[in-house]
Amino acid sequence: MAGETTAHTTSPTTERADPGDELVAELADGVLHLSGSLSLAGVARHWKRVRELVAGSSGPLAIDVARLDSIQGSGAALVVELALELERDGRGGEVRGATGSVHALLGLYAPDEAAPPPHAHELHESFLAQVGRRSIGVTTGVFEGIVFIGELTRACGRTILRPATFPLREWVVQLSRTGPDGVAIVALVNFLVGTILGFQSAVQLENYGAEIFVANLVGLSVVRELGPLMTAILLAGRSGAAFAAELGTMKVSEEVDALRTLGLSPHRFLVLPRVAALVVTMPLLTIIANAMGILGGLAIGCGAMGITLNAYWQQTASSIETSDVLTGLAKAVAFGAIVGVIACHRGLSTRGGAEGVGRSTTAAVVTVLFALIIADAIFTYLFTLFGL
Amino acid sequence: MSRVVVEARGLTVGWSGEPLLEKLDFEVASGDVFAILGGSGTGKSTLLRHLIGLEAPLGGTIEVNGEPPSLVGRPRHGVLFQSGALFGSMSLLENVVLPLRHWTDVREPERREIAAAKLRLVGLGGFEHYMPAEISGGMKKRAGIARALALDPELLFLDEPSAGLDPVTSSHLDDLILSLNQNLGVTIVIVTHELHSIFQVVSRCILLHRERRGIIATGDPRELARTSTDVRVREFFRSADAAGRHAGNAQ
Repeated sequence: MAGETTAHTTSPTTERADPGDELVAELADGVLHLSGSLSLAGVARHWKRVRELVAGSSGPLAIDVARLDSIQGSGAALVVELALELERDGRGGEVRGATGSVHALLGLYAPDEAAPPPHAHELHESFLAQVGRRSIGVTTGVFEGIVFIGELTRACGRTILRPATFPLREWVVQLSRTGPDGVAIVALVNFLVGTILGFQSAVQLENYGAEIFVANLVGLSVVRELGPLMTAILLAGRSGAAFAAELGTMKVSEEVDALRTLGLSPHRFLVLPRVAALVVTMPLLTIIANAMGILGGLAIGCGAMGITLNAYWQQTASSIETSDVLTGLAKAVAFGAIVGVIACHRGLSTRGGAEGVGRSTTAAVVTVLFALIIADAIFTYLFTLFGL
Repeated sequence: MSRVVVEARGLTVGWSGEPLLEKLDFEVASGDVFAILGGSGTGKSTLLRHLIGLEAPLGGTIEVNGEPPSLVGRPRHGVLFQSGALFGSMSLLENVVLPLRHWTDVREPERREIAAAKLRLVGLGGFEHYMPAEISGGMKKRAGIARALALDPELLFLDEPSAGLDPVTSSHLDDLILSLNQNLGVTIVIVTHELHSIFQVVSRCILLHRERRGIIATGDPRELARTSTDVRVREFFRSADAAGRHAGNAQ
């Protein structure tokens, strides 16, 4: 190898300079000679230059460590990695002159001969293979979703046939968590939605002298659409995320497996009470949401637009029909089931550890929100189609 | 001749269609303390998950008490998971009462008495109303064993009961396992790589090997350690012994 190069530089560095951390690298006759200290601090300051030396060379290259005064684990790891890389590139990469502690440490970092095959993610897949793998993943996900619905339906059927087996205690606990605990936030948010809707519509309707119709607009919007939808969105963030995280944690800590080995179906004992709780609490919370939304509109109508309390109430009552309330509540029941089923499915599909639980929780909330909007659109279309 | 309670023939197990262990043949006789041995990553826990019916084999057959393992209906065997896997929202007593409530007609007061007795059996008398989060790792494993024993099974599967425990707690757990086997006649299939436990409680074992993807030795672990000519078998017992001594000294 022509010439001689050194990696020993005096360039400014953010590392604290310590004379004991100096690493000198010289390239001569196809051998990379390392001398001085191969400590973490020395590596931090000089290893980049060592790599540049190696990258700038060609042909077979050995690494001579005979003149190293000291070495630490990180230094040994980098030497071993460099040697492996040279070997992979067909440039030899033999490590020479290692004695005593240097030899021992390099031996410690030497790769396990019986290393497992590379992980799927380490393999360079072609585009087609990646598309195929992802397609299989999506198909498997859909299949698992269908199996989940099937298992839940079976659990429902068994519970109907043998009501005594329904996990009543768990249902009551979930009722309490999803219902009373959520009243305050549902009431507050829907009141604010009512005020926003009231204010926005009042500004427009005032131009036509039709302020009184704020009551119609707020009342109908809240009862038919916004009451159930906003409540479902809140429950998706609150109870849906909680279900996914709780069941996900149970899955990764083997509690779900333990339940199965006791002959108890997770769908019957974990999913059913949660979905049943939401199916009951959603319409109840929606009634509160409707009332608070109307109250919000009333606050704007009476407080800002000068409509009398009696007039606003009369106008609201005359504009809302029983079918409006019932269609809203029907949506609420369906939304409750959607939130519960999707969140529980995501929770029970959790793989991996804490990270997997986080992923499932996020996926549960996103999927539920998407499903709610789709379901709302379908309901609105169907109700319009049937004149409801 | 003892009755065969677990039988694997040509069994291939793995994850996502990828075999981890292939063509396994072994059987567990009634009254055995049978160990599935091997280093980390050899597939011991995966094999156990197949034996208890949590996963379906990729090939071959498993029979537990003459039937394929099933999770449907009243369980005929108890299982202790590596972490204990107690239900976090229930007290220790409730954890043990749960299977009794679902699979027996015993009245609630008697269920609670039975559950309390099971907890006493594993040395957790007085801890009935503790929550899993309030007890140590060793106690969780004991409570897990109590729950596994709730329905008086004749067969118990234990996944690394000593893992993560100090030598004293581990030794107490070994005594408990031996006592369950000798006094209650429970057949025990145990996954472990703790040599102390292996020599103290195990009567027969299979030794799994990662590269071989199968069984490299079968028999009495003490005999295997003493007489096996297979380098891999001798290395396993030597390394496990050294690791055990090191852990003991560290404690």
